[in-house]
Amino acid sequence: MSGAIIIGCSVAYVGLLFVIAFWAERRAKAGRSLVNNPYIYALSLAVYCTAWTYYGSVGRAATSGVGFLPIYLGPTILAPLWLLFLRKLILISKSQRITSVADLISSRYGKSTWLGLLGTVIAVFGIIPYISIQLKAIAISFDILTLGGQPGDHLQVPFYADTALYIAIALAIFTILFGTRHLDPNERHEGLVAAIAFESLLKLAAFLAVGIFVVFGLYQGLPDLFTQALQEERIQRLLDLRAAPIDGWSWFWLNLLSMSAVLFLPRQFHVAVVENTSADHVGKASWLFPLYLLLINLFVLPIAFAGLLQFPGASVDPDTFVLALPLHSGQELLALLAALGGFSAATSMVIVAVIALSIMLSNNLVLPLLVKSQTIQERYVLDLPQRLLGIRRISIVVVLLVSYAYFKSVGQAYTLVSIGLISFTAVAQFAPAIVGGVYWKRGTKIGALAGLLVGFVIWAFTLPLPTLCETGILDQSLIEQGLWGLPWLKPYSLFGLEGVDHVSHSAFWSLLFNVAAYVGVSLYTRPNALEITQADLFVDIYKYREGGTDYDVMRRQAKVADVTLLLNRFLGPVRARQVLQTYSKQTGKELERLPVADAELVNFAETHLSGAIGAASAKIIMASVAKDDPIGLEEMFDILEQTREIMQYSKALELKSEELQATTRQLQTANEQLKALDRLKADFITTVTHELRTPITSIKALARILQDTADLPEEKRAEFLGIIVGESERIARLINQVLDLEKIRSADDGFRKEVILLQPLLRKAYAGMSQLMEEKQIRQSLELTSTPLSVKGDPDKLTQVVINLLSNAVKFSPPGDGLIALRLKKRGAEALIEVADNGIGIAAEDQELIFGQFTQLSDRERGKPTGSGLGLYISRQIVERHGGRLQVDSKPGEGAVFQLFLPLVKK
Amino acid sequence: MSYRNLPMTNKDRYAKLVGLFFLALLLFNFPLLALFGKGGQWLGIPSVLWYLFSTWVVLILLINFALRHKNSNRKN
Repeated sequence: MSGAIIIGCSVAYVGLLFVIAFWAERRAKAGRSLVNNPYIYALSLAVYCTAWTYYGSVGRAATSGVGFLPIYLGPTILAPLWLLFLRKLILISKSQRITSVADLISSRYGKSTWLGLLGTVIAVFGIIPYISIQLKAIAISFDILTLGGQPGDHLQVPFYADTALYIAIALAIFTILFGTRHLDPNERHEGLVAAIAFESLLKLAAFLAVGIFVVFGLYQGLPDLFTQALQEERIQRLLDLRAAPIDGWSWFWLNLLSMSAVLFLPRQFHVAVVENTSADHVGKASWLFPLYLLLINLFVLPIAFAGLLQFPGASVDPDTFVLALPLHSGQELLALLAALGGFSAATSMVIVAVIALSIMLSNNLVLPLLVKSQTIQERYVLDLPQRLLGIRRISIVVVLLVSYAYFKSVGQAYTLVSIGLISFTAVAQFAPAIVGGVYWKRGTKIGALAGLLVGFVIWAFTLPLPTLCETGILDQSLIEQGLWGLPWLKPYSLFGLEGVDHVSHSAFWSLLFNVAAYVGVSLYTRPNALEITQADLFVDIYKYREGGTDYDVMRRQAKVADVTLLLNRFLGPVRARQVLQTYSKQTGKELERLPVADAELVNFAETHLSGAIGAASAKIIMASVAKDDPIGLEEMFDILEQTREIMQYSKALELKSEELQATTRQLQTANEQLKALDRLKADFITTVTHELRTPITSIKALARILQDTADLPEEKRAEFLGIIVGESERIARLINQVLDLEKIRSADDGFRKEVILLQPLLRKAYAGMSQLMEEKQIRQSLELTSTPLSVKGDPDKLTQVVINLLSNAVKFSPPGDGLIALRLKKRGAEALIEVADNGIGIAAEDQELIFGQFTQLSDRERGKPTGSGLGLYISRQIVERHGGRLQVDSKPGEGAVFQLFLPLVKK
Repeated sequence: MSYRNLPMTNKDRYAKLVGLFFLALLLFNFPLLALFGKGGQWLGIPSVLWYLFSTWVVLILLINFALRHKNSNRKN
C-alpha cells in the first residue's frame, strides 16, 4: 500500500474530526449541546483505551494470556464507586474551577504553588513515556502498511529521516489547532469532546471488525479458533493461571494501578472532570464505560491466538497482530480500517493528554512564575490570554518532541504495555493526596508534598531509571550492584525485595512510602487557615451545595424584568404574578428592590418553568436570559477571609463585653459597699448628734434656769452646776471617743508598736480604777500570773481598753454586793486578760450586739446607762488592730466575763 | 419538597454500590480467579474466559440495576 494513500486517509480522517468538532461547537453556542449527555460522556471516557489497548493488549495477551485484562478490570471494579467519588470530584472541581489534576491537589492543600508544580512535574515525566508509545504505535502501523508487514527501523535512521518525528510534529500541529484556538475560562472544549467520542466509536468499530474477521473469516467461530490454539502447548500454558507469568500479587497491583489511572491520568481527569457537562452523567457512565471496556476486550485473546497460530516462530511482533492478520490475508481495506482505528486511539490519547499537560504547564508552572515577577506581570497583563495560548502551544510542541526523544532512545526496546505501566505507576502517586484530600480533612500541604515527593523519587528510581540503564544510556551496573554499590539500593529489588515483577515492585514501594509520608507528616504538621478552608470545601462539598441544583456555586444572574417576561410568556400573567408573589413571601425579598435576579430566583423560576415546559427546555430558556457568573476562586477566598475576620472581631467583642460585664459587676459590688458605708456614716452621724443633743439640751435648760432665776438657792445652784459639768464632760468624752474612732479607722498602722510587759500595765490600770470600786463598795480581786507575759503594741491604747472594760464592770455591778476580778493567764501563744463581774449579765442574743457602734443595753430597772455606746466598739477595734480578739462570756443574772486575747511576743 | 424520602434511599444505593465494589474486587482477583484458571473448557471456550466475561456482564447489569432504582424513585 502506498504511503500517499495512507497519508491521504489520515489527513481526510483528521479533517473529519475537525468538522465534527466545529459542528459540536456551533451546536454548543446555539444552546443545543451535542455532548451534554451520558453517552457522549462515557464515550469520551473511553479515551482510556489508547494504542496500548488497540495494539498492546494483543501483544500482552500473546505473552501472558489473560494478563492484559487487569488494566480494564480495575476501572470496572471501581465503576460502582463513581457515583460517590467521581461525582464528588466533579462537584468540587466545578465549584472551585479546577482545570487539571495538579490544580486539584494544589487547590485542596491551600492553593499551594509548590504542590501544583510538583504535580505538574510528576504528570509530565509520568506521561511522556505514555505519549511516546502512541508515537511508536502510529509509526509502526505506518511502517507495516507501507512496508508490507514489517516494522521499520527507527533506531538507526537519523532523526530527520524518521517518520515518527514527522508524526510527532503533525500531532503537535493537530493538537494546537484543536486545543488552543481560543481560551475558555472553564477549560471546556465541546468540539474536542465530540471528536474524542467519535474516535472512541471508530476504534471500537475497527477493532470489532478485525476481531469478527479473524474469528469468522479466518476460523469458523470461537470454538474452532480456541480448539486449534489450545492444541499448541505454548498457547495452552497461557490460559493456565497456575503456569502463567502473572500471579495474584501482580494481578492485584495492576488492578489498583488502573483504578487510579482511569481517574487520575491527566487526560482521564480532563475528560471525566474538567470537560464534564453535568455531574448527573456519572451514574449512567458508570455502567456504560465498563460495557465499552468489555466490548473492546472481547476479541483480544482470539486475535492474539490467531496471530500466534498464523505467525509461528515470532516472525511478527505480537503488538502488530491487529494489522498483520488482515494484511496477510489480503484484506487491505480492513487493514486500512484497522490502522485508522489505531490511529484514532493514538491521536485521541495524544490530543487530550497533551492539552491536559499544556494546561498544567501553563497554569501551574509558567503562570505562577510570570505572576511572581512583578515587572513581567505589569508588562504582559494586557494580553495575558494571548500569552497563555502561546505558552500552551509551546508546551504542546515541547511535550511531543520530548516524547519523540524518549521513543527514539528508550521506547523502542520495550513493549507498549510495559512502557504504559511506567506511566500508570507514576500517576498512582496522586491517589493518596487526592483520595485523602477529598475524604480526610486533616491532610496537610506538607504531608501531601512529602507523600508525592517520596513516591515520585521511588517511582523514578525503580521504573524509568533502570530502563535508561538497560538501553545503555546509563551504566548497566546500577541494576546489578545498586546505587553507589549498595546492595539494598538495586532499582529492581529495593531493600532486597525480590520475586515480584518490576511494576508491582515499584508500585508497592512507592505507594507504601507515599501513603506513609502523607499520613505521617500530615499528622505532625498543622494546616494554615486557607488549607482548613479548602479542606472543608472539598470534604464537605455536599454541605455547600444545598438545594441540589447543578453547580450551585456557578451563580446565575439575570434581570428581574427578563425573568418576569419569561414567566409571563410561558405561564401566563396571572400564574406568573402568583409565582413571583410566592417567592417574595418565601424569601422576604421585595422583587422591585432587587437590582438583578440572584441565583436563587433564577433557580426558582426555572423550577416553575420546568413544570410547564419540561426541565430540559426550561434550562435552555433560562440560559437565554441568565448568564453564568461563576464565583472566582479569589472572590470566594475574599468572602471566606472576610467572614473569618468578622468572626474574629465578633469573638474579640464578646471577650470585651465579658470583661465589661465583670467590671460592671465589680463596680456594682463596690457601689453597694459604698452605699452601705454611706448609710452607716449617716446612721453614725444621726446617733452622734442625737447623743450630743441630749446633754446639750439638759445643759441649755439648766443654764437658762440659772440665768433666769437669780434667787436660786445656793445648793440648788451647786447641784445644777454639777450636772452641767457632768454633762459637759459627757460631751467631751463622746467627742473624744468619736475622734478616737476616726483615728483608729483612718490610721492604717497608727499605733506605736513596742514590747509591753502586761503585768505592770494591768496593775497600773487596776490601781486607777480601785478608788472608784471602793467607793461603790465592790469587792476586788487581781489575779495575775507570775510568768512575765509580753505583747507588742501601744501601751496607752491597751490601758484604755482595760480601763474601759473595768469601768463597764463597775457600771453594771450591783452596788454594795459587787465583785470584780481582773485576771491574766497564758493560753498557748496568747495572753488572756479577763475582766469578770457579777452584774446583770448579757443575754446570748445581745453578746455580739454590744460590740457595735452606739449600742447600749438598757436596763429596765436603771434606765439608760451613762456612756456613749462607743466604748466596747472602740475597744474591739483596738484589740483587733493588735492582732487579738475581744469577746464576752455571760449569762443573764450570772455576771459577765470579758475575755481579751493578745498574741504573745515570741522570744 | 417531595424528595423527603430520598436521603434514605440514597444511602441504600450508596451502600449497594460500595458492596458491588468489594464484590467486584473479590471476584476479579485471586484466589477466586485461580479456581477457573486451571485450563478447562466449556463449549470450546476456555473456562477462565467464561468466568471473566460473564462476571463482567453481571457486574455491569448490577450497577445498572443499582442506579435504575434511583431514577424510578425520582420520578415518583
